[in-house]
Amino acid sequence: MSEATITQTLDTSGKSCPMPMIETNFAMKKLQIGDILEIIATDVGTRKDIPSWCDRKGHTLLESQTDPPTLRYVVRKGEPVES
Amino acid sequence: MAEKNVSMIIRNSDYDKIITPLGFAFMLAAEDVHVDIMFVSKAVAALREEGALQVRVTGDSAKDTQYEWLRQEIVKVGFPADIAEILQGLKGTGNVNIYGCSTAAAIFGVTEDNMLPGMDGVVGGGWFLLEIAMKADLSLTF
Repeated sequence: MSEATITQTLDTSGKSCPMPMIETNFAMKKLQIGDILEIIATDVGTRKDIPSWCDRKGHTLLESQTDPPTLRYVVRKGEPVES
Repeated sequence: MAEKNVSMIIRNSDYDKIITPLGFAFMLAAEDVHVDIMFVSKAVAALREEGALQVRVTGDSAKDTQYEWLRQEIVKVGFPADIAEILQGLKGTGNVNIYGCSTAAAIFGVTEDNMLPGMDGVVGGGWFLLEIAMKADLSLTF
């Protein structure tokens, strides 16, 4: 279990690219900086998508469980990154 | 506010060909990348309501990719299956402009009056190439 308090859980199980990242982006936009989003996925593409998305957006990947079939990520929302 | 720009030119609106660029556009728009899409050639017909409904798998692809099967698989992975719904969804992100090429529109009977609601109109290919594609961070053709 995460020590962090999860603000929202997004379950994208059964969905494939691009839907997990689309839904993850939309879910994160509704959260406040510092909030924590838990993402459940079955698309193994998220193993690269989620960490690189965190880097681009300034979020912090707190936890990841990337063994199929069920993948889980815990991400803290960060300040927007200047591109 | 989108800070990066991607331009796409879509010339093939066969169902199995159009899903990929529209999916890419959705993914980029969700990340606040601004996407400009120009429908050229016969693909412009997909911007009409009845045209969007008529998008199918055609040609050689139809031999091994059945439209109804592909639609069902797309629904299974969570993506909208209807082209009109996808186009409206893209507009709903606020990060996508969708244009029809003026020459293709004239040939295939597309006008700003019969386009799907919310599309960004009919424009010249020169304007799109010089003002949009050449200034984009990335330009893609499908």
